[in-house]
Amino acid sequence: MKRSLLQSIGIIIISGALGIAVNAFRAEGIPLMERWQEKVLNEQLTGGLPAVSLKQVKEVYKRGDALLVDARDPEFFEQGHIPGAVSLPVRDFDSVFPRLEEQLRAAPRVITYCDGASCEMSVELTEKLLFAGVDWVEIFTGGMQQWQGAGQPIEEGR
Amino acid sequence: MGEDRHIASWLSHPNVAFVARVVLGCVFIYASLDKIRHPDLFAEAVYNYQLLPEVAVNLVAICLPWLELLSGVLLILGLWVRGSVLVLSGLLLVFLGALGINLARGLDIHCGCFTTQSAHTMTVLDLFRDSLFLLLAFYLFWLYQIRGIETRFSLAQVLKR
Repeated sequence: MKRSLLQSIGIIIISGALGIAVNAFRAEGIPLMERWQEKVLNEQLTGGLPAVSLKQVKEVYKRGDALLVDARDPEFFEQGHIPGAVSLPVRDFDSVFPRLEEQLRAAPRVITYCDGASCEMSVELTEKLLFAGVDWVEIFTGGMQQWQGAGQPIEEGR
Repeated sequence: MGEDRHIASWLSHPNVAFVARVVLGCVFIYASLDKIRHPDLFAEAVYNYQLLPEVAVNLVAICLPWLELLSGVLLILGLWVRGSVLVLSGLLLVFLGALGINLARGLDIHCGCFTTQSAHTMTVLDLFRDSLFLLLAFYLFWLYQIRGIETRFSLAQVLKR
């Protein structure tokens, strides 16, 4: 029995190591830990579209490897937005999108946002962007409310 | 008495044991493939069971399919057979427990046993199917652990020659 136990422990260790190693190197890999409750809640808010948390937005903001897109009307954008974000009001999508199309397509990752969990403009904008063929678009469901609430910098003007 | 001995000797026949190893091994290899291909969907299936703390969900989703695959392959190859049988018996007991708890809770989720994407929610049939596999695993456990028979048709034998 001792030998069997040792063998089974060996199998568990080798499988665990294999799983973690393969996961780390493959494109479809998932994080080792995830906040599932938050993720499921976000997906409910976004109707199944991919959502990102404040923590993830802070990280991409620091690294500058995502294009943040403000879905609100221009006057709200001018009053205050996440620094570096571009304005693409969902109401004026057809007229503004062609101007930003090249930048959006070149971005490695696009994150949309609006006021917060109660606004649906970022969801609408994400659907339009995905329909227009822009890859990897995600929604920051916390939006400006969560960004400001966390004491993050704000930029005013266009 | 003679009948019992006849059944026991039939069950201990190396060919029967080999078939049982291949069947159970193939079941677990097949069950692992879709989970390895879609770790995100399998993680969601694991989360939906609502039995693990959130921090353990992805780790289980990443490692469990490889445990199924490796144990299945070793069982068929005849390497570390006793360890593989112990792992697979343990896994089946855990699966049965998880299925049973969620059937009792009445959760409307899919099994995630062989495929990560299914329109069918779990039923008592899943429980029945896993019970049959557990019976097979217990048979192999009895054979190799309790009766202590030698593993025939194994890679270890081939390598020894």
